[in-house]
Amino acid sequence: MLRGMHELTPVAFEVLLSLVEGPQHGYGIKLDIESRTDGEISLGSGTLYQAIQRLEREGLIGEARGAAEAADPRRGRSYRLLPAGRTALQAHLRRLSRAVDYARARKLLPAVRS
Amino acid sequence: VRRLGDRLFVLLLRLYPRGFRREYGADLLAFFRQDRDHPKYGSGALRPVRFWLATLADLSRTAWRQRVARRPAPEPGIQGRTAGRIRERLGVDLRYGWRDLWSSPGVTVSALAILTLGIGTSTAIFSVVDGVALRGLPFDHADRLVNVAETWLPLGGRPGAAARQNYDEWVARQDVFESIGGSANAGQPTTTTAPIENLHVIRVTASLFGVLRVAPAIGRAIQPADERAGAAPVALISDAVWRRRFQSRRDVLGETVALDGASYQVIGVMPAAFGWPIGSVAASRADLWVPYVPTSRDTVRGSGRTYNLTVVARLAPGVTLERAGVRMQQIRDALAAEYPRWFVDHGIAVRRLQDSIVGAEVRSWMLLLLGAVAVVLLVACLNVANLLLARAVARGRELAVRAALGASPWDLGRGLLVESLMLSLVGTALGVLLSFWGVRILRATLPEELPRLSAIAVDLRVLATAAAAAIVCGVFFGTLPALQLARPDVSATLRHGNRSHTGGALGDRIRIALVTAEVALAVVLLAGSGLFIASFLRVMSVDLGLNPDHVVSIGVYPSRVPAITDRRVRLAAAQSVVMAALDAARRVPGVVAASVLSSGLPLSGSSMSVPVQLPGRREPPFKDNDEAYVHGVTAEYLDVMRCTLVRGRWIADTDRAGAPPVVVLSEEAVRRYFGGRDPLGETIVLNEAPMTVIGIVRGVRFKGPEADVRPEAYVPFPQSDQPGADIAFRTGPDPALVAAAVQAAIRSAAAGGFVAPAETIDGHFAALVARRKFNMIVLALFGVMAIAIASVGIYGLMAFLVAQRTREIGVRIALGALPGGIVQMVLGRATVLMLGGLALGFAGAAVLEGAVRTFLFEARPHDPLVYLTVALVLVVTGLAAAFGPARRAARVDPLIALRSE
Repeated sequence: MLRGMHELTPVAFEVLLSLVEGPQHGYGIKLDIESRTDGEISLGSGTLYQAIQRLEREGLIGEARGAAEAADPRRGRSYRLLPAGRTALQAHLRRLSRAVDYARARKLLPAVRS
Repeated sequence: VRRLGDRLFVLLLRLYPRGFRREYGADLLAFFRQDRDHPKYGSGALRPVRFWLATLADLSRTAWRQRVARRPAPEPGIQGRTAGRIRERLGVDLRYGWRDLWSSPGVTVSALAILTLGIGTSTAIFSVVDGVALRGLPFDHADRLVNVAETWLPLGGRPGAAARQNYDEWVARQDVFESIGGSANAGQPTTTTAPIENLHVIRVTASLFGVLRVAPAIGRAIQPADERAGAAPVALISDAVWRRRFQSRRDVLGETVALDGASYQVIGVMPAAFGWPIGSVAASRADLWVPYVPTSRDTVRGSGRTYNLTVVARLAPGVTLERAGVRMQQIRDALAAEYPRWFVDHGIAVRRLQDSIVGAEVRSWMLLLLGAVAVVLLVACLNVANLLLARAVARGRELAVRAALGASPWDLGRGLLVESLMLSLVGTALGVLLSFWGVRILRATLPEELPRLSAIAVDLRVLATAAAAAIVCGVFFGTLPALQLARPDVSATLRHGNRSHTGGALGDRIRIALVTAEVALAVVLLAGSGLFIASFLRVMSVDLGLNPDHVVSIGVYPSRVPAITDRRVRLAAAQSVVMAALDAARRVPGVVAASVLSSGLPLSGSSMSVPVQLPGRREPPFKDNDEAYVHGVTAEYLDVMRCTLVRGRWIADTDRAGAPPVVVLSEEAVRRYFGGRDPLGETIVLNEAPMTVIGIVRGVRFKGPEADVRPEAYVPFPQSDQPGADIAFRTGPDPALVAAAVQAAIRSAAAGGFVAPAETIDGHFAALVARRKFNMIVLALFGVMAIAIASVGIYGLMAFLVAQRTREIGVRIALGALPGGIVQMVLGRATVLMLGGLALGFAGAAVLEGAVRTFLFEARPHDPLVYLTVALVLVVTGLAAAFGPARRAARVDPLIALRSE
């Protein structure tokens, strides 16, 4: 149904979003998601790394070698967004954005005030 | 704790498939470590609980997904913030487990009850053992702290306190300690300002708190200037004194504490958690720490020697305990060459401070308790394994269907494992709740002589251990049923239903083995408790030679009258105060008999020994252990203590000061000093004072049931050289009430003197046997728990076997077997089982007996009475447990039994 596109789970989506600004280690991703979602999404270690495993397999993210944080074994490895990941994220965001526009037009969500 | 947590987490990572673990294991651990400090887990005692619950929930969920779905989960869960969402998702994830657990609530509830009991008991006991024997002392790097002791060579080098003179030499000569300090008990003087109370004063060197690395919470520490002669007396006060006497005022510095010896200016308040010295309840009392200002007695090597300093040192970096020991030995030897008189009977020992506080004896006692409770826990685990096995068998058909539909043995087994883990976690949570209550009871029942009683608590360490125990138990009793189902005979099960074939012979054998093991372990515990009960009964039945019931004692210490300089006059004045107190006590209604008793109460542990001589005796002088306990008493003493006069006459009121000195000896004294001769009328020299023997009394075990009968001598109190004494009296029915009245009477009679609180001889006796009593009660409790759990096991197994053989039994009844015969058959089966367990248990108990022998009083090896009783108790309880299933078997209706399959 979504040809050429990766279907992103909510967790995968949030992980990708966290890597937009640059490479991050595992726990950093968790904290980033927490602060962005106001604590609504708080990932456990297994859930996070399960998502990372999948994203790595699908070639959406990769290990960031040489990054400053990567040298610190106490924090675990760092990951960065791969081009395919950026594409998938953008596709997903476009879909969401279209859905939001649709919802706004039908008063499902409040309109943006400028 | 953190390292323990790390290890536990690494262990838990094994729940993930190997590939995932290899790839992300290190990262998961790093995540785990960072997550520990996340603020969302809140604060306080529940913080680690929240953290672990979240971690375990996440771990079990993802591990399950990783294992079950070879492909990643379609919708990985998100840990929400609201409780409702967590509950909702947990409900989805653990629904299988719960459904299975509640599908047979009887099994679940009994398993939970047994687990709660087992884990609750072990947690409570572990917190005691941990607090007393395992936990380090509450000081910074306490493992580097050592105790330097002078040893008393005649007693095989028993470590004791040090002489100040020697301590000063050590300080000057040693090069193995970073710092060294000491403390000495300065007794308990009375305050002179309200509230009037006795305060425990500890004298410390200025260096001591530096050695321990503690500082006052308020104010300054004791400094070297404070310990110089002539320095203004200062004191650090305990947190409790600060709260009690100074209402927690911050401006307490500069206030004074006035004691009857001296008055101290407060320079600081120690933190609430600080305590020194550390030991039994009595030895740990400290209200005031004052500088140890050495006097000439402490610095000059005169004729007397005083050993009163407990020396603590901190090993210098890189120095081992052994090297410090060798170095201090060299210093001791050098000192011995200079001052031989000081070292003829004294050596030196350097021990870990913790070992000096918690001796090997207490440690092995604690390990005994831990071992016993581990057996209880093991019995509980075996039983739960058995219950789960039974349920797995009952569900055999369902599992076989799932296997037929493609579930691998691993899938089925893992499900059982998750269930048992859930069970053990809930059991542990309940058990921990139970243990909070158990620890409260234990703290109240433990003998006060036990060191570090106050360190006992259910805390993080204990909780972490309980959690580890839960996981081990869960895996243990989840594995067995899983193992059995590893090769389910699918077609056979589906064909025959779940009665006769599921699990098969292997399952039966596992279950029989489990119950046999349970019975054997219960027998070991029962035999152990039997030995402790027998030992306690032997102690209680020892004839003390006196009757401590309803005997109360109140110490009277007349104040010194400084105006009187003559020693004899002063003694007479003091003794007349005591005699006046005695008269006052005798007049109180309810006092049956009253007597003065100087130099220590029976069973209290204090006594006074004096050297004995006989005039004209040719043999060498009597040795130290031939010294006699001497008591100054008055006429009614025999009636107070209910001792027996054997011959001659007892001390009378006419044996006053100035009258011819007389003495009554105990039979043991007569045997030792006079051999077979008649001592009446003979002269004996006690402490260089000659006196005439007028009577013989039966001996008394003055230091308690486990002490030897020592030679004793009773002299009239007015003829003794003691200024102060106890007034001991026997009361009617209500000792407490009478004691209060006597106390008031004595107070007014001995005006100006110090009147001690009332103590009962019964109380001293209770303290003497407290440890034995505690051991007996705890072990008996464990024994009862083990046998109760084992009975449940026997019941379950027999019920299962009967249910399994319903068809066979039906056939037998159809063929004419009588109900009695069927009952006999089932009970016979149970008996065989119990005999197997009994034999194994006895073998185990016989081996373990050696390990507990040191804790027993006059233990008989393999006490036949104990073993016989155990066998009887087991067989009776076991048969009672098996009787229900046996009766059910006898009532099998052959028609229904045969039709049902």
